[in-house]
Order: sequence, then structure tokens, then C-alpha cells
Amino acid sequence: MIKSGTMKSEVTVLLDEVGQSNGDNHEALEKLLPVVYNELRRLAASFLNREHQVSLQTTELVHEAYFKLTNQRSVDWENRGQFFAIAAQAMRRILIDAARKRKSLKHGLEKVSLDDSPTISTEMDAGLLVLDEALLELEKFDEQQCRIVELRYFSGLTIEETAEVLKISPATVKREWTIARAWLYQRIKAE
Amino acid sequence: MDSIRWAKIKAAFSSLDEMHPDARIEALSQLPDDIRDEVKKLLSAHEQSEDFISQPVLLAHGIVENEREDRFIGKTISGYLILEKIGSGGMGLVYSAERLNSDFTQKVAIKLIKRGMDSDAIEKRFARERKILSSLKHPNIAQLIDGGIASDDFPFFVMELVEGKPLNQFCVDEKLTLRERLDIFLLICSAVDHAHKNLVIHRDLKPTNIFVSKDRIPKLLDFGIAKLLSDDEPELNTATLGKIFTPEYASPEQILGNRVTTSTDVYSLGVILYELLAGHRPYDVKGKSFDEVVKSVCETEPPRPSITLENQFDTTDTEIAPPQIERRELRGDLDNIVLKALRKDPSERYGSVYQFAEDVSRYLRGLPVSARSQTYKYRAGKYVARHRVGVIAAALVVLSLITGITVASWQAIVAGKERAKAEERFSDVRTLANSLMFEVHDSIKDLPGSTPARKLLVERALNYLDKLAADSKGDMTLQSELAAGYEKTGDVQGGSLGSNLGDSKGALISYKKSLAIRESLVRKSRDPKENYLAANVHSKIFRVLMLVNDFKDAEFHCRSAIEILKPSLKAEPQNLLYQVTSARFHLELGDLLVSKKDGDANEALTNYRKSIEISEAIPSSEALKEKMPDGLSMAEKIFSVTQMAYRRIGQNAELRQQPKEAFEVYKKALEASQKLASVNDPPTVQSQIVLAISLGNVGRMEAKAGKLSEASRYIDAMIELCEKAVAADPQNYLAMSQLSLAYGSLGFVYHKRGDNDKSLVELRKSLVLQEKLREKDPNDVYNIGNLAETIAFIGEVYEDSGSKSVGPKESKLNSYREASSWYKRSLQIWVDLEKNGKLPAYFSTKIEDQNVAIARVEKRRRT
Repeated sequence: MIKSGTMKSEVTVLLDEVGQSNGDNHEALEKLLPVVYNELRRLAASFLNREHQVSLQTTELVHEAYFKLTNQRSVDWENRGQFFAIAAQAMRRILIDAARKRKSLKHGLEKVSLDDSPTISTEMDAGLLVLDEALLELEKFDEQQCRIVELRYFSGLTIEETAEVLKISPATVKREWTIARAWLYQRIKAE
Repeated sequence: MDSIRWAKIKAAFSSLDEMHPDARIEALSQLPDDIRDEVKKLLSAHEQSEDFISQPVLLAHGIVENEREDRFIGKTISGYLILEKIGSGGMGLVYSAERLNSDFTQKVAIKLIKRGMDSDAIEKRFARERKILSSLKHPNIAQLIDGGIASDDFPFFVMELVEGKPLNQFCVDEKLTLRERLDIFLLICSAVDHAHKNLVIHRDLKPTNIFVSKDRIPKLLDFGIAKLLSDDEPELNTATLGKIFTPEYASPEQILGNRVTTSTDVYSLGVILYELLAGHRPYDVKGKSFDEVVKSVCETEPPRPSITLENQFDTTDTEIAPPQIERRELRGDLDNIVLKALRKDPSERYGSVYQFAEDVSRYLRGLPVSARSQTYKYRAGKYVARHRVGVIAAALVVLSLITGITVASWQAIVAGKERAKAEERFSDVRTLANSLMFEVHDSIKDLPGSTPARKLLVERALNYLDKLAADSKGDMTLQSELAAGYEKTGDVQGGSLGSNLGDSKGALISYKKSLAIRESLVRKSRDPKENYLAANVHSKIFRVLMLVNDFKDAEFHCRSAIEILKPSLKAEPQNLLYQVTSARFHLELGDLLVSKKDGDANEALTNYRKSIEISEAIPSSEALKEKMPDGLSMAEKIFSVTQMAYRRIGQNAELRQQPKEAFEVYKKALEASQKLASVNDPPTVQSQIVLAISLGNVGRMEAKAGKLSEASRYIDAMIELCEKAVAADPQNYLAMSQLSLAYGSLGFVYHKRGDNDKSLVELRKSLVLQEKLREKDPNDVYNIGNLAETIAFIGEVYEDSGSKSVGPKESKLNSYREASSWYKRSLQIWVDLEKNGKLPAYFSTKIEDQNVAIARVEKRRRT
């Protein structure tokens, strides 16, 4: 179990690890993912409860989680990039897991909690699940595009921020983002 | 879609997307057949997907509602009823559960993969953990019971349920003592050792992975990132897997991503032990950057646990409450053991967890441990590179390895066919033991701080010889070696010369064992050397007996020594060694005669002069500086006897109230002491102490003669020498004893100068040391006499203060009252000595002196 006290250093150290291996350190990534996953979900719940918001964008959440987990006052851009890459994957999982769960609840006879917001439509859940499937397919032949989609859509990063995280030019991000959206759109529409 | 085709599609899309719609149709038709349709589809999707996922996803209630991880509770998995969640790691969840359909209630723990974490890699690792656990069966490792795939397709395994607390918390909550902590630690080591023997490296040992049950049984949990040495899955490539760790407990090689071996677990156990003992980890890596972590763990030497233990009382930033352990309990062996496990270089750590545990267990049993202080070795090595200190540790290890095995096997097979081979080994061991006892021992003899090391060395070697001797009675050479071994042990325990451990009783036992062998050899052999050797042991026994004031036995041994040596001198009158020895024996007889109650003082003086006569007749030459087999040169022997004989005559004069004569003779003693100190460069510790004594005597005479500034010069020099010797070896009894006398002399000088306050400060320093010495060796009458004299002198100083006091009458009376109580305290010591028959002749007037002093000061109080 990761204690909150040691988690900060662990996340920072692991981020450095990932950074040094140019993201190839899958073991460190795997260790980081659950940490970030839990923190993001926790933060999201607390944001929503605190602000009585109906909804919020993920950008703020991811930044907040970054500062919380790394305990850094100044921004280490190298670290931050790695972190956003992981956070984007974590956000994706959070949303997909939640959508799956609701889907399974509806299939079953269990009572739907009143806390479940009526603003989340079944349509949106379905959209998320098919998007996830399409992304899984895209990832097989274009991993970078998949990452770009995660960063832009699930983490809310700008073109420039995305470029920074992936260490490619903003023009490339823009071009690949366009193609990815087009491909995903036609893939989902074809279903 | 293959990626080459996809790359072509993307390139075509990008160039076409920027074209004017008219040009685009043309360009599209130019595209190769295999990509044309795809590009076309993409272009049209692009036009329609303006808003598609263009805005980041929105979070809302419901989406982020906490997943109910307790959804398993109350359900059954493969016949286990899930009771409650007891843990959650990065990838797994742990529940307590109960086995259904069983005659007895068995509570277990079930580990599952967390939802959303079920990637291929994680599933593989999960399976590996299960495989590893199934290979381990040990009382201190949580046992695997069952495992499988649950109905909805996720893997799980069932383990023994460990009900307890994490290690550190347990130690704090239960307020465990040092011993209890070490006992638990040993069990943990046995678990890790078991894993290693099954080719499993844990790699993530930390207190939170170790649970301790109420009955103090620790259990190792979580082999989640353990490595199977026999496993060669590509995933186990150390370059990647080697980088997962908990930084606080990770070894330098883990942090640097180097090869991870069983030594990594030794290191992590070292950190765990460090924390158990000192209440804090060796490095603070919390909140540090990776670079800083690397710097601490890989480059910085950790502070000794004893220092960390002490420091944390100054801070409030402790993660666990400091253990109820005294700093002195950690100093020495435990410090060394922990630091050895924490060496940066894996090859410098314990070779195995077993060896680590063995050292801890040796500590617990009061046996010498193998871990040595690095700094000591370093310091000593620098101080005397030429003294071969470096080989000692190695020699000890070799000896314990080879000899331990060989002696046992020799005894076991001696009757068998392999006798010849065994005898050969036997002789090897014997050579090694002898070399250790003499060459190695002598090479460190004069090193400051070496006394305990010498004792260890000698006792070990002797132990081996003892075993050998039991099987080889009648071998004269071996008997002689044994005698020498016992003699050496006696020297280290409590010999009168050289630094020792102050254990007079032990020394006597060892010497007498030696003497019994030596005397039988004298009877069997015609070699004058045997006489000399036996005489020498007599003389050593005599000296110890003198220290403990057993004059009757002492006289016997002293006169025996002189008698037994006579045939040797007769056979070889020009033999320097015999001459010097004879000079020493006369000195010793003189000493006995002045100490004994009815001793003849004139016979004593005659013997002192005889001794000086013999030694001064030996012409000085460079050859005298050559080392003898016992490590001393002839010159050293001569000068130490000479200075001592002069010193004794001086003391005699002092007792006879002849200060001028005493001063002159003491100066001769000082001269000889200076010669003694200059024989070796750097001078030996022993010669420095002798020099200190001589300086003190001359200083005291100067002080008595009223030459106070001269006196201070001598005494200051004395204090400096003694303080150095005590600092270098706090166990050195003689140096401490002399330091106490030096403070006393300084107290005397201050008193003479009229500064009673400063005088009392020095006298109390002297008093503290002499009381400490009495604790160490309650049989040292000489020291007890000094103590009584110091106390009496404190009384004198108070009396003097009282008589000079011009203040209120009350303060005068106070001083007298003080003086009286100190005199009485001194008197009590003398009386006790006499009651036990231990009052030496030269102290015989002391009881009377104190009675007179008490009467005097009581009278003053009344008037």
C-alpha cells in the first residue's frame, strides 16, 4: 500500500525513471498508473462535491493531481510531461471503468443509486465505450495518435502542451490530431 | 491495418487536406489503389467531425463516484466467503475470507487484481507472485493455500491470513526491547534466507510488508515484485524490472538499475534493522528528487545507528517513536553489523542473509561478531600501514572458516583411514593459530584501541590449540605452544605490563595453566631456555599477585623465578636476555619486599641497586633496538627495568622523607623513561605511559619543594600523554590510572598555589577516574589506596580553606565539616583494606594519619 507521505517522493522518483527511459520503462509506468488513477478519482469526487458542480473539465484536475502527487512547488517540465501522459491514460480508465460499471448495473437488477447523476446519459456512456474500443484499435497501428487523443480529450491538454509531453512539434500534433479524430469518427460511425 | 500503409494514408491525407477541393479530386485519383479508398473516407469523415471529441471530456457526478471495491463482500469466490477488505496495493486488493463447506472455520486472505488494473503485464506478475509463493514453505512467510480463476474471469489466490500489525508499528505499540526486536528480526532473516535458498529474491523488503502476530511471529507478505533467479522471462530483464522499488529501502544497485542479487535483500534488511534499532532510516529520501536520492543512497555514508538514535531526540520529525534503547547498547557491535549490511558495494556486505543473521545472533549470545568498524580499520590502517593490520580481519575469517571445520573433522576421522591427511591439516591449523596468536597479535599490540581485538584474537587461537592439545598429549612442541598461548591470554586479560582488560583473576588462571605446562617441560628438558620461559611465567604471576596484594604467593613466585633462572645464567653468562631478565627479577623482588608487611626495606634497596647494576653494565648499541620474539627490543627491556628501579629507590626516599634524594633519583628514572620512549618511532603507548609516570614523580617533587611553575610543566606534560592514551583506548586501565594520578598532582599544585577551588576541581576529576577503576578491578589495592589518598587530600584542601576563611563563621565551619567527612571516608577505605588483609606495608601508617586528621579538624570545629 502506498502511504500518502511516501507517495509524493515515489511518484516523483518514478516519473524521473519514466522520463529517463523516454517512456519505455513499463514497470515504472505500471507502478505509477494506479497511484495516479486513485488520486484523480479522489480529486474528481472531492471537486464535484465541494463545488456543487454538475461537471468539470479534466485539465484543472490533472494539474491539481500533479502538484499533489509530486509535491513540487516549481514545475519540472520533464516530469510534468510524463505525468500528464500517465494521467491521460488514468483518466481514460476512470471514465471507461465508470461507464462499464453503470452499464453492468443496468443489465442487472440492482438498484441504481440516487447519487448517480441524471445528467449522464446512457448515450454518453455508450459513446465512451465505443470510443474506447476504437482507440484500442487505433493504438495497434498508431500509438502516438492514441496518446494524442488521450492527452487532448481525456486530459484536456492544449496542442502546445500535448506537443511538449510527446516531444514533437505542435504542427505534428495538430496534423495527427486531425487525422486521429477523422479516423475515429469514421470508425465509430461505421458501426 | 499495417503501419506502412497507414503512414502512406496519413501522408496522402495531409497533402490532400490542404488542397483546394477541385485539385483534391484530381490528386485523389492519382493515389495508389490500395490507399485511395481509405484516404477518401478519412477526408469525408474529417469534414463531418468538426465537433467530434474536440472539447475535452466532461466529468460529472456518477462518472467519478467511488468504485465500490467492497462489491465482493458477502459474495463467494471458489468456495470462500469474502468478509472484509483488509488491504489495497497498487494493483491488488486483499480481502479476508472464510472457507465454506469446511468442518472448521479457517480464515484466509484472498488477493485479487484491482479492476481497471487487469493489463496483461499485471496479470503476468500476479501469476508470478502466485508461483513464487507456492514454492515457499516457511513459518515466517505467509503461506499460499489456493488459487485460480473466479467465475467472472479474474485471477485470485488464497493465502494464510496474517493477523497482526506491520513490523514498525508492532515494535512501537508493544514497546519492544532491543532483544525482542532482534529476536523478531532473526525470524525475518530466516524467512528471507529460505526464499533465497529457493532462488527467490524478494526485492521489496520493508516493514509494511512484514506483519507481526500477537505471539511475536513475523510473516513476510507481498512477493509482488519478487524475482525468480531461475526465471528467464524477457520481462525479468533487470534493466527494466530492476527499477521498481520502494526508495526508502532500496539498495544502491536497485537505484542505479544495476544487477539485483540476494545482496539487495541483505541491504534492505539492513535498513529495516537500522530503523528497528535507531527509530529512523539511515537516509531521508522523502520528498527528494531522484538525483538527491541517488546521492544519499549511493554516495553518502550512513550515520551510525547509535548516532541517529541519539540525534532524533532533538527533533520532532520522527516517523515512529524512538525505541527504548540506550545509545551505548548500539555502539560497537550493533553499529558495525548494521553498517556492514548497508555497504554500498554488494561484495562488502554480508555474503548472505544467513551470515547477517549469524552475526546478530552472535551479538545476542555475547560472542564476538564478524562485522568490523570501517572507520577503525581505516584509522588503524593509516596509523600503522606497516603493521599489517589489514590482514587480521582476513586471517580471522579464514581461521574461523577453516579451523572450525577442520578441527571437528579431524576429531571425527582421526581413527579412520584418512589419518595422514588429517594430521597434515592439523598441522596447518596449528601453524595458523600460532601465527595468529603471535605474529598477528604482536603486530597490533601497540595500536591504540586494540585491547579487545587482541583478547578476541588470543582467545580464539587458544581455543583451537586447546582442542588440538586434547588429542595430542605428549607432543612437547605443542605443549610449549599451548603454554605460550595461555601466557598470552593472561597478558591480555590482566598482565601488569602493557594495556589489558583489568581482569586479574582471569589472568592468574591463564598464567597458572601456562606454568604447569612450563614446569613439566623444565623437568623433561635440559634446554636452559625452558628454565628461562618457566621463570618468566613465575614472574608474570608474581606481578599480577602484586597488583591484587597477595604478597605471600607473590613472594613464592618471585623467588621461584630467580631460582629457576639461575641454571640458565650459569649455562650462558653472556646471554643478554637472561641478564635483562635477571635485572628485572631483582627489581621485582625489591618491589615485593617494600610491599610486604614485614618486608626488609634494606634487602629491597639492595635488590634495586643490583638490578640497576646489571642493566647499566650492558653496553648500549644499535643491536639492542632489534625486536625480540615477544615484540620488545632489548633496549626497551633494559630501559624499562632501569627506570623502574630508580623510581622505586625514589619512592623509598620519599617515604623516608628525603625529598632531595627522591628528586635526584626520580630524575634518573625520567632520563631512562625518555630513552625508553625514544626506542620506537612513533613511541609505543606503553612507553608513553611510563614516561607520564616519571614526569609525574619529578613534578610532584618539584611541587613539594615549592617550585610550582616547574612542577606544572611536568604535570601538564603528563596529563597530555595520559589523555592521549585514554582517548586512543578508553579501555586502557593503566593509562586511566595514571591520568587519575596526574589530575591529583595538578590538584596538589593548585592547592600549593593557594587556589583551593581549582585544586578541588582537579581532585574530583581524579576521584571520578579512580572510582571507575575500582569498579573495573576491585582487586587493585594500589588504585584503592590512591583513591583513599585522593579523598583524604580533598579533606585537607577543605580544612585549609576553612583555616584561611575570613568570611562568616558559618562558612568556616562548613569547610571543616566537609573536611571531616572526607577524612572519615578515607579512613573507612583504609580500615576496610586492613580488615580484608589487603593493606600494603607502605600504606601502613594511613589509618593513623586519618585518625589524627579527623581529631584535628574536629577540634578546630569546636574552637
